[in-house]
Amino acid sequence: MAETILTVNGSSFTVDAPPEMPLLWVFRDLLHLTGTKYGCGIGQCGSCTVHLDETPVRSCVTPLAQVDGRAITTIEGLSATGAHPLQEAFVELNVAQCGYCQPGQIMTAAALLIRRPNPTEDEVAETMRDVLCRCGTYLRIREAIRLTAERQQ
Amino acid sequence: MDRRTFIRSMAVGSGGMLLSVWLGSCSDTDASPTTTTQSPTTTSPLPTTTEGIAGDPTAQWDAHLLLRVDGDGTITVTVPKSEMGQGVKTALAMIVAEELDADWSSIRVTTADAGRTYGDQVTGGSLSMSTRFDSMRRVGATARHMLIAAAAAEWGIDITDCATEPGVVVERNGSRRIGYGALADRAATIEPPPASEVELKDPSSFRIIGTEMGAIDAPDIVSGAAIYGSDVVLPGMVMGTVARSPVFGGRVAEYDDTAALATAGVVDVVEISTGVAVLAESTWAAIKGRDALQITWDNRGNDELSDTSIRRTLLDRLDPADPAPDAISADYTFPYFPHGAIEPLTCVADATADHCEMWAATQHPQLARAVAGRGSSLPTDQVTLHVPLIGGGFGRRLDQDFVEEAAELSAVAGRPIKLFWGRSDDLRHDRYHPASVCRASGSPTDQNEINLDMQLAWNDGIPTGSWRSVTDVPQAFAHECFVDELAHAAGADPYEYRRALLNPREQATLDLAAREAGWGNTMPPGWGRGIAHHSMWDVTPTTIVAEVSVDDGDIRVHRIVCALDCGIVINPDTVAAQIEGAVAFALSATLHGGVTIAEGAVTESNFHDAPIIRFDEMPEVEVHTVASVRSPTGIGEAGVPPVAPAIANAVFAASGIRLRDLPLTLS
Repeated sequence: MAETILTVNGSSFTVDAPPEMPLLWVFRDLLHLTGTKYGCGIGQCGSCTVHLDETPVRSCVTPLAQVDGRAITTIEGLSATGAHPLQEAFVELNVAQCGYCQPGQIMTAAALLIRRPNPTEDEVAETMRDVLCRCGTYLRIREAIRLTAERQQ
Repeated sequence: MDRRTFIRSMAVGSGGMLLSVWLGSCSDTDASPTTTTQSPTTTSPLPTTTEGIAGDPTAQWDAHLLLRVDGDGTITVTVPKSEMGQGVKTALAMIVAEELDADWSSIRVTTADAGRTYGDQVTGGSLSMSTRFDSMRRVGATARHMLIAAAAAEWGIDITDCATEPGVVVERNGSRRIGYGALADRAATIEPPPASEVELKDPSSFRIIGTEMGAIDAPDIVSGAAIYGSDVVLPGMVMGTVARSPVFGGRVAEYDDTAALATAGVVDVVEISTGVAVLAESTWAAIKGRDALQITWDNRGNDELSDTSIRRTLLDRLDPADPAPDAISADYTFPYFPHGAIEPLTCVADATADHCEMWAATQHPQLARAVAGRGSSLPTDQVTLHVPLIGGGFGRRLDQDFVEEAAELSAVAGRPIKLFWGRSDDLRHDRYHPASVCRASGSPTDQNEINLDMQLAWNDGIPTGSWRSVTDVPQAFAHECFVDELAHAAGADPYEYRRALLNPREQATLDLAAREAGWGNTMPPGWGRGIAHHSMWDVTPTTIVAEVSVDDGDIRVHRIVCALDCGIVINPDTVAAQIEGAVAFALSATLHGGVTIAEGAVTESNFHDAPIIRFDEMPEVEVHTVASVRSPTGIGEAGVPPVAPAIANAVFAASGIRLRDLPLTLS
């Protein structure tokens, strides 16, 4: 196995793992960062979403070899204090039910708001349809994104 | 259950009071010693509990609930129910905090380990609020009484000269105040009052119950710090994943693990009761190792099963249709439905020769504990079972097959393991909501005589279990669609025709939903409204009005208006969230269907071919509750049954086409 140096949430880690190992398992099993979740393993549910240099990727289908020196941000690194405006909005509006998909929801929404600080409803829907929620929190996710975008203007 | 209340308190070493409120002894409330795989053919909403597995069937349990007050004023409530997004941790803590008159910011909540001292920990059947409302109030009120008594003793005054403000005992006719934390040590020495001396608040003075308190775990959820069953990490733990027979009821004939063992990161391959397990240093290696297994399966003749064969079996069980002259009849059908929680089944187990410690995201901790004992060949009392947060339950986690599997695997492996079920495993080895056929018959002119002949495939070769709202779902679909058909045959408005079938409490929800939805207002061409009513477990009347458009064969649900009566509302935001969630859950089944069975196995493998609804398919949802002084009746499931029939009825209104099979499709 090869050694790879990763920058995760601003810190440097050396991982000893095969280059084809998806980042999801690097986080969860090797770095014990369990905020990023497994839901499907084929990039269909979005629970594993992290950022590579602010680009959202599904870490379950993103192998270690693809990182290529880019900075990785997981849900744990979105804010040092949990005070990212989206996180605050999600708490304020009681978005979560079981909460398992919420890291993926938040990471996907956060990337959208970086790219499009004032997204249209259609743009929000087009992006957020990538992240499944079985508990049905979609309406509240929509409101949290809208509120955050409004506050950030 | 014996409702006498015994209270015991003790000082806590680090300063503070630990209050155990003994609810007297209560026998296994659902006790009849059957196994978990039995179909719920009785009126009990939950599978039966543990005593058939291990232990004395006549054993009495002492139930107690824990409330801890620390010297710094922190108040910890131990909740004896599993949290899976339904908000039970927060709601039960709210009830305690209300009667305790606590400052909500001082409240912490933990989930009880599986034990013999918390009463029934089964979480399902929408029963948590209704079964615990009273006892949790008493816990809080008793603790408040003791804190007051401690202050009164401190001040040398009568307890009637004391009152409380949130977190503080105050002197009525003076200015002295002491916080609960400062009183805790002394309160621990106070003789607990008999239950008859503990007064509960008048609901008109509730200041916490009835408000929209935020979920206790919300900050941890959004930061990624929340620990679910799949997040638990133990030193020396390996990952385990199991290859199971694709054909239900099949078993391993022979296997070759050479390639699996040669896979980097794999540490062992072992055969267990449920299949061939691969143990590895990482989940990825375990998955790769499993892919490399060469297994020959003995299908034991079960590979003949299909949706077609099962449907034929169900139809054969139906009685012939009503021969009455003006009777009409219709058959309504469901496929098998999977649960589809985003967190697949998971369990962490550490089994040794004399003890087994488990972390199980389970809705049935006490049964889980017993089967973990069975899986690791240990008595139940040598099993410790913790209950982390659950990434979605919906009834799947009432069955403990995955817990037993994890315990067995750890015992066989001789080390701690995390059991990994992938999405395909979860989808293909579910305990499905059974496929069904329901024949409804009746006369349009005699709406009190609706006959339902419902046949469910509980035991027809496909494993089945509880699924949110259970048999109320197909029953309500058949009944409420059929009422619509009768109304149409009678030339009547569906709302008016249906109203005559309901009692006043049910009518109140019907009227409220219809009014809020604007029933009767004109809709554009291709649009329609449908209405359906169901009273979940006979205690939570719920009406749903759906607004739907039909365009070129596509069914689009735009708006759901729901009105329900769930008794006293503990947290109105939770009620709304649970209805939104029930709508989403039901909508997936209604529009996307379930799984298909072919050659004795599930055809689908993941969310790409067994979809659930996505963000852009969610309708607007409006929730209205009827004001009530009834004790809470439960809302976790109530929203599900009326959704599919309301939509089917709306499709008829929009298109003139009557759909009687899920998933609803016009193509």
